[in-house]
Amino acid sequence: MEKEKLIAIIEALIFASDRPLKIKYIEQVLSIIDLGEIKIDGLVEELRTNYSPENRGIELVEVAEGWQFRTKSQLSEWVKRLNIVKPSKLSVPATETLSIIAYRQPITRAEIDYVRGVDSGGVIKTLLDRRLIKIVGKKELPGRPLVYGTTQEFLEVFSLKDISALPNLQDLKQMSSAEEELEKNQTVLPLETAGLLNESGDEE
Amino acid sequence: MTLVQENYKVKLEVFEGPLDLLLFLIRKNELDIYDVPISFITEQYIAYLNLMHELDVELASEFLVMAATLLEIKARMLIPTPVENEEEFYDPRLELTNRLLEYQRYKDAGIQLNNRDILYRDTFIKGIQEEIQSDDASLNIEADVYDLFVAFKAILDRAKGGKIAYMTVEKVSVAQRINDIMERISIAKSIVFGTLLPEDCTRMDIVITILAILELLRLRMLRCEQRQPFGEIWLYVSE
Repeated sequence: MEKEKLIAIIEALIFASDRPLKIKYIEQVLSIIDLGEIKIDGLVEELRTNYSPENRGIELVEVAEGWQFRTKSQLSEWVKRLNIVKPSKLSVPATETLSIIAYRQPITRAEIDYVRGVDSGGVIKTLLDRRLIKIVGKKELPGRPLVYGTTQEFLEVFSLKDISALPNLQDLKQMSSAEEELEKNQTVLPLETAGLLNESGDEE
Repeated sequence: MTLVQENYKVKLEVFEGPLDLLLFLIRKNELDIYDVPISFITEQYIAYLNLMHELDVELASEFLVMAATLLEIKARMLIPTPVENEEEFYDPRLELTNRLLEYQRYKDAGIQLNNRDILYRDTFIKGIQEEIQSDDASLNIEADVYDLFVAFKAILDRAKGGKIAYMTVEKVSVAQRINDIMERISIAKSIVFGTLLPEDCTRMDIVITILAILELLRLRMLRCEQRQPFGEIWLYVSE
C-alpha cells in the first residue's frame, strides 16, 4: 500500500478515537498488511507536519503517550466564543501542589504539607475531584499513609507526552548547584569562624 | 513602621503560607537566600504577623509555628557554639534555607505548568460538551454542609455592599423562619437557596435563615441538591 494511503488511514484512526491514540493501537489495526520498511512513527510525523501550515486550525499533538488532534493554542480565544464548558481555573496553590506531586510522586500528604509549609488537605481534595491526581497506594510507614500520583488526565490537561516530558526546570539544576554551594558553605563556615577568632585574638 | 505597613498592604492575601511570606520578604529586601540575616528577617516576619493581627485577619497556625522556628534559629545563632570539632559546625539556618529553596523550586514548576497549553483553556479537542441545561435528575449532586456555607458566604458578601442604616431589629425566631420557609416551599415544592433572602436582608436575617435550613435538613423535612458543581443550591420538600 502506498504511503499516502497509510497516512490517510492513520489520520482517520486518530480522528475517530476519543482519547489520545497510542502508536501500538495503530500498529494493531495495520498489522493485517505488510508494511515492509515503513515505520508508523515516521508516517505519524509526516501527518503531523501536514498540519503545521498557517491555514490549518488544528494540530496533531503527542499527549499522554498517544496522538490527538487539538485546536491550535493561538486560536483559543475564537474557540472559547463557542460557549463551551470551561472547567474552572486551577488556583495558584492548586497548581503549586500539583507540581510538587508531579515531580515527587508517589508522595504522601505529610510530605506535601512539609514542602508547602501549610496544610494541603483542601487542595488535594480539589485535585482529586478534578481527577488530576489519584491515590496510588500506601506507604510502608507507621499509619500507612496514602500516597498520591498524577493521572492520565493530568497529562492530557497539561499537554504532556508523558511524565518525563515535564520541563526539566533550570531551577532543578540550580537547586543541585545550590545544594553543592550549601555543602561548600558548610565546610567554609568553620574556617570563617576560625578566622574571626584569630582576628579578635590578634587585636588583643 | 508606617512605611512597612504600607508596603505590606498591597500583598496581603497573596501569601499561601509562611514559606511564601518568607520568600517575599527575602526578595523584597534583596537578601541572599543562602545567607539570610535571621534577626532582620525575624523582625520583618513578626511585624507582618502583628499587622495581620491588627487587621483582625485570622492567620493559619503554620504562620505562628514559623515565627517560633525563626526565633529558635535566632537564639541558636546568638549562643556561641563551642566549636570543639570544626568539621561539625552546623548552620542553624540550613534546614530553613533548604526548605525555602525547595518551595521556590516547586512554585516555579507550578508557574511553568500553568504556562503550558492547557486543555479547554488554550487548546480544545473535538466533541466538547455544550453547556449542560438539563433537568435530568441524575445530574443532581448532593450538596453538603460546606456547599451551604459557601452559598451563605455569598449572600453575606452580597448583603455587605448595601447602605448602612440603623433601625430597630425586628426579631424573627428560627421557629418562625422555619414556618416561612416551609410555607414558601410547599407551594413551589422546590426553591433556590439564594432566593430565600432579599438582597437588602440583615445579617441577623441571614443567620436565622441558615439556622432554620440546617434545622430542617437535620429533621429531614428538606433535602438540598446542587445540579452542577458551584451551581445554585436547591431545596426540596422531602417525600
